[in-house]
Amino acid sequence: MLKSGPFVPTAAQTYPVHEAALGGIDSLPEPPDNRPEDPADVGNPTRKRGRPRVLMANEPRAYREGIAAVISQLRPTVVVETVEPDALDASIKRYVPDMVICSKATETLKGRVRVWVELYPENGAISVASIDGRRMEYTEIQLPDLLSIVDKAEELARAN
Amino acid sequence: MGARRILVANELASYRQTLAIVLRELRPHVEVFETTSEDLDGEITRLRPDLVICSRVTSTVRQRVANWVELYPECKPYSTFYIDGQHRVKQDVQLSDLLELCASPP
Repeated sequence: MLKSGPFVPTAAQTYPVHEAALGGIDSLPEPPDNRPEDPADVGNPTRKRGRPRVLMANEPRAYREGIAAVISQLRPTVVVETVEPDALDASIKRYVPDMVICSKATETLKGRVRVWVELYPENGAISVASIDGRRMEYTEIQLPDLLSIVDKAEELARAN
Repeated sequence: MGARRILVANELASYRQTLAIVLRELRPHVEVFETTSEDLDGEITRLRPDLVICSRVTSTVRQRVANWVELYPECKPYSTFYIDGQHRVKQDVQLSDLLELCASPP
C-alpha cells in the first residue's frame, strides 16, 4: 500500500516516487503483459540502462506530484522522476528519459526524447503528444491516455 | 480538520482524475467523489461533502460546504484554503497539503 511520505520532497527537487501497484482501478488501462522480468531479458540492451524512465516537469506542482505518483504506482516497471520545469533541459541530458511530461516542450526535448507530452500548454485544454515522431493532439487528455502513452514509451524503450 | 467525504471538482480532467485516485488510494478510509465544475453545485446538494476541492469556488460552495480548497484558480500559482473557518492563501501547493486535509484512519 502507498504511504504519503514519498510525496513530500524535502530539499531535493528530484525524487523517485516509490513502488507497489494500485489495485481496483477498473477504469484505467492495464499495463501491457510484456514486462521483461525473466532471464530471457538478460541480453536486452535496455536492461543495461535499467528500467524505462519517465521525467515529469509539468506545472503546477501538486499535479506533477500526483501524476508521478499514479504512474509510478500503476506502472511499477517504470522509474518516475520529477523536476521543476526550469530544470527540464538539464534533466533530459542527465537522466536520458524515455518519456517526458511537461507544460512547455523545448527544443532539447524535441531533439532528444522519443516520447513526450506537452500537457495543457498555456493552461489550455489541448495537449500535444509525440510518440516516436508521430504527433497527436488531445482536446482534453484523460489519465488513461497518459498511461497508454507511458506504455508506448516503455514498448519503444524495450524494443531498442 | 479531517474530511471524510471529499468532492473533487477541479479542472482539467486528467488533473481531477489524478487527485481522486491519489486520495482514494492514500486515504482509503475517506470517501472521494468526482464531478465537473458544471455539476459541482448539484453534487454538493446531493453528496453533502465536508471538503470540496475545485478550481473556482461558487456561492453554493461558500454557503454549504464547511471546508474547501480553491486550487490554482484560473491556473494561478496560488490556492485558497478555507478550513475550519479560516482562510489561508498558499503558494506552490504540494500534494501533501491536500492529503493533510483528510481524516485520520479510524
